[in-house]
Amino acid sequence: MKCNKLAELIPDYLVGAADPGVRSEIDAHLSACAWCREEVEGLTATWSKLGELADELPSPVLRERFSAMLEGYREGSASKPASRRFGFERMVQLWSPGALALQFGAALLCLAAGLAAGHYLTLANGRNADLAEMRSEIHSMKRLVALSLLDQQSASERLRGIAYSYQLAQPDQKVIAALLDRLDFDPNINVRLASIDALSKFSDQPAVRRGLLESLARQESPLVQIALIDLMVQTRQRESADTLRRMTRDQTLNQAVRQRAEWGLREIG
Amino acid sequence: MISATDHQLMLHVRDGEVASLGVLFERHHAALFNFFLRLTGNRAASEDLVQEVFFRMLKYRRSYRDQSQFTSWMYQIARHVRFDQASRRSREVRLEEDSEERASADPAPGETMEKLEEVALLRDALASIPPEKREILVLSRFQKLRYEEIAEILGCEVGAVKVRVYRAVRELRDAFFALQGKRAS
Repeated sequence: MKCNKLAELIPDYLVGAADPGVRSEIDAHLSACAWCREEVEGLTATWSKLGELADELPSPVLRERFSAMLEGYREGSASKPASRRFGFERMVQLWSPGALALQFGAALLCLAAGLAAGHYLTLANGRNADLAEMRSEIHSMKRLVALSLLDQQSASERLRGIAYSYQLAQPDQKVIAALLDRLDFDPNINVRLASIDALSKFSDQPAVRRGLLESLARQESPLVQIALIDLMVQTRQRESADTLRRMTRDQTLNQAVRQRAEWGLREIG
Repeated sequence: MISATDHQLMLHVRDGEVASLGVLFERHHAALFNFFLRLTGNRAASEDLVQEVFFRMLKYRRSYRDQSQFTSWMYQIARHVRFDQASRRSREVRLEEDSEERASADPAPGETMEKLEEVALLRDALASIPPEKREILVLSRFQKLRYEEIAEILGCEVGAVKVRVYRAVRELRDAFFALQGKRAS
């Protein structure tokens, strides 16, 4: 065996997958060639040393996040009107040989309908149905992505999640709850401010109004407090008057926040 | 369900029984986590990447074929996820700096200082070699994939995989000796 053939054979030798014949061929070569012996000893030592880099365990949060994602996906799929598979199975059933009369009738009906409605109209309808299904799929996917991103550990990912929630024309309670949760508990101030912006879009919903008001009393960052006061004024939330009044009297609050609360009270009237 | 093969479970997932993905998660999430951890050295990022792999498995479940090999398919997704993350990171302005956590397990009791230092050096050496070489070592040495499987994941010949493994081990050995020499001097 020549030295240059060793490169092809060593990888199998390292993982113990070399045939016994090849193995003894290598061993014979190594006992005769000092250079190759040194080379193989070095590589084998490095390979086995790698075994000392032990595996680590992920945090238990990973499993929780996976379960939430799976649950979100299942809920998303369940809310779809009818799955493609169901439609396909129904079609197969209808076109089974036992349903000959039905098929004949259906064929006649189709012909008549086709003539009456016209070729182009049929095409357009098909396209509309496809579009509607696609829109519904995209909506449920966006919802899932938003929920999944809002739960990420990186603040930039959570901000992307909020941006996704903007694209939902009709977010459900779960997305709103996730946004309110970010507003209350996110350690990053940019995420909290972004969630106020996102929630302002749905401030006509009672749950959102209540959540925003409760959050105002809990917030500690002046920037977030001011953004919430502004939103109360913008959406004319009269029920926030008590909270604002308390804020004007609270000497532990930032002075700018107290002034903003006074202004807010006047505006709401 | 528990005794079903990965392939059977993934076929169930493909056909709409998405709960089966839970069993696949239990079987593979730790291996995937260590795959990413050894490539990135960052625990939080690695957990995000694992989550993304399972999300894509759901999203692209219909692309799973009767003749697909589950492990190869999973690592192909994992490589795409890693690639997308790397290119996104280079485009985006970071809002918060990663706390570059070191991928280090607690030392086992009784391990000598010398041994621990050697392991740390080896980890540094692994981090210093080019990513594609690190990846092939991770796949073959740590994920314990056969060269045939790696060839399918990387889309190349088995022979090419072996050559790459050989070159990667050599480079790691040289990097390790270089670091050792630097420390000694």
